[in-house]
Amino acid sequence: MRGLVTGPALAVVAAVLLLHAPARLPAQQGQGATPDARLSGRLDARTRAAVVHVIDSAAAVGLPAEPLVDKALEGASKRAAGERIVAAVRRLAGELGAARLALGQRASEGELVAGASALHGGVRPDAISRLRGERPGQSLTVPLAVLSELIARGVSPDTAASTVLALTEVRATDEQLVAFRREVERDIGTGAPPSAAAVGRSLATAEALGAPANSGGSFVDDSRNLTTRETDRTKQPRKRP
Amino acid sequence: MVSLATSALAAGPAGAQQRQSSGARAVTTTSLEVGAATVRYDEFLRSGAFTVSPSLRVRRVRSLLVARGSASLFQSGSVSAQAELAGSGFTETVRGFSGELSGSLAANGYKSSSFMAVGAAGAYAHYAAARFGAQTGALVGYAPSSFTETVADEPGFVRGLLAAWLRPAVRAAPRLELSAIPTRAGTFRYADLEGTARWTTQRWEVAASAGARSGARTVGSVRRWVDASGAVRLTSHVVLVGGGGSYPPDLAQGIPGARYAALSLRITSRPRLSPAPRATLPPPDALPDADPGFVLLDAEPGSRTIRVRAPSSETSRVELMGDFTAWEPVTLARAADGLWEVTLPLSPGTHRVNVRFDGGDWTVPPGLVSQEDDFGGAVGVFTVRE
Repeated sequence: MRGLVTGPALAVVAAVLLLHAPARLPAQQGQGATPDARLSGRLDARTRAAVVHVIDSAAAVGLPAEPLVDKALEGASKRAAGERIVAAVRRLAGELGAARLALGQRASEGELVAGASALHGGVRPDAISRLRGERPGQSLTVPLAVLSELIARGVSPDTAASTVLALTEVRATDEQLVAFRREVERDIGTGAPPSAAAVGRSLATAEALGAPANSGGSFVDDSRNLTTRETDRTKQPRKRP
Repeated sequence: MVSLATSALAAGPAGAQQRQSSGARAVTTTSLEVGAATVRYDEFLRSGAFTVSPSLRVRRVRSLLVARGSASLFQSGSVSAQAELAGSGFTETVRGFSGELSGSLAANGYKSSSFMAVGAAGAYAHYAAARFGAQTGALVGYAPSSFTETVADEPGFVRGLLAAWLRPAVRAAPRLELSAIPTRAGTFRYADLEGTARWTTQRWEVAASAGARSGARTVGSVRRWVDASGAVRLTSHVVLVGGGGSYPPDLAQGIPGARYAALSLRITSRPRLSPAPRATLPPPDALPDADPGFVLLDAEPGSRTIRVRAPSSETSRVELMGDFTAWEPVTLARAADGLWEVTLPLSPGTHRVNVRFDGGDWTVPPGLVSQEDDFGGAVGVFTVRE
C-alpha cells in the first residue's frame, strides 16, 4: 500500500536532508564492518556502489545505516534485480528521513524503522508527530509497529492511526496496544471488516482503560448533552423542597 | 481518559474512523454505584442519605445512549428516586468539526407525593484538535409540574452553551475546561460561568471546579460554588468515587442548590463489544490463536528462541532468514510436535523474517503479519519489546 509520502516527496525529503548534512557522528564511524564490506560478495559491483552511495549519504545526515544495509541484503538474498534493490534502499532512506522529521532528532533507530514502516503503509506524518506528542520521552516503537500491523491486516491508514492515537491518549501501555492489535486480528479472523474491527475494539479498549471517573458513568463526554451534564454534576441525593 | 478518547474518536483528529461506520459495533458498559452523602439544601437542615445508582451506557462511533437511575434514602426515612434517559447522535468529523443532536428525558420523585419530569433537546457544534477544543450550542427543555413552572410560571426553558477545553502538552498538567451557560426560564435569566481543572490517569482522576452565577433574576442562596471530586480504581471493576462542595439550583430539574459531601463505590462491568457483523467468510489465514505458527520465547539476555510450526509432520528441513541473520538462511532444529526452533540474538525493535520448508519458496511464517517486501514478494513482521 503506497503511502501519502510518495516517491517524489521522499526524494525531496532525502535531498533536503543531504544538502544540510551535518558532520558524520563519531559513533557512526568504524562501527563494525563498513556497508561496503558487508555488501561485498552479496551484490554485484555496480549495485553495491549505488547502494553504498545512498547509505553514506543517509549516514551523513545522521540516519542509521543498518536498516539500509539490511534492505540491500534482503534484496540480494531474494535475488532481486540490482535496480530494484537500489530503488528500495533509496525509498527506505527517504522514509527514514521523513520519520525523523516526524519523530524528532532524538528518535531511536527502532523508532525510525517503525516510523518508516508506518509511513510506507500510508500513515500521515502529522499522525506520527502527534504520537510523539502523546508519549514524550517514551519509546514509540511498539505503537508504530501496531500501526503498521493493523494496516497490513487491512485497516485503513487513517483509521489505524486514529485508533492508536486514541489509545495513547488514554495512556495505553505497550502491552495494552499489543493486546488491542491481537483482538482486532481476532475480530478480522471471525469476519469483521478490518476498519470496523479496529474502531470497535478501540472503543472497547478505551472504555476499559478510561479514567475511573468515567467508567460506567459520564463526565466530559456526556457534558455535550447539557441536561445530562447538569444532572450528573455530583452523585448527591436529590429531593424536592 | 475515556472522555478524551471518545471526544477524540467522535469529534477530532480520529474523526476519520467515523467514516468507517458500516459494520461499527456498540460498546456496552454497566455500573452500579452505592454510597452515602451528607447534604444541606438551601434553607434546609443538613441530612444524610444512602444512595444506589445503576447506569447503562452504549457507545457507538456516531451515537451515545445513557440510561441512569438513582434512589436515595434520607435520614428522615424519606425516599427520592430519579431516572434519566439521554442520547446523542454525532455527525462525521471533518477537519475537527462535528455536530451533535441530543435528547433526554428525566423524571424524579420525592416521597410518594411529588413527581416531576423534564424533556430536553439540544444541538451542538464541536471542534476538537489535539490539544484544545470548543463547543457551542443550545438546549430547549420542557418541565411541566416542576420547580421551573412553579417559580417561573412557565414550564419551558432555554439553555445555551459556550465551552472550551485545553490539554497542555505537559503530561502532569491538568486538562482545563471553561464553560458559560446562559439560561432563560420564564422571567428568570442568569448565566453560569464555570472552570474545571482535571488530572487523569488510568488509575485515578481528580477534578476541581469553581463557578459563579450572574443575573438579576435567579433563585437560591448559592451564587458561587466550588466543587472537588475524585475517583480511584481499586480493581479493574471497582472504583471509589468521592466529592464535595456546593452547586447552584437547577431550575430545569427542580433541584435546589446545596452543599454536600459524598462517597461511593462504583462497580462496573467490563465493556462488552457487540458481535461483529459477519460481512465475509473468515479469511483463510485467520489467526489460529490456539496454535500459533511463530512464537518468540525468552532465552539468554539479548537473544530469543524462535519456534516455527511446519506445515506438515513430513517436513524435513526448516530455514529462516531475516534482518537479524543478515538475510542469510539459518537452519532450525526439530523440536517437539511439528515445531522447529533456533536461538538467535534479537535486539528490541521491529524485525522482518521469511521461512522456507524443504528448500521451497521463501514465505511469511504462519501467524505473522505479512507485508510487501519491495521485491515482489511478502515478508513477515514482528516486534521485540524492550
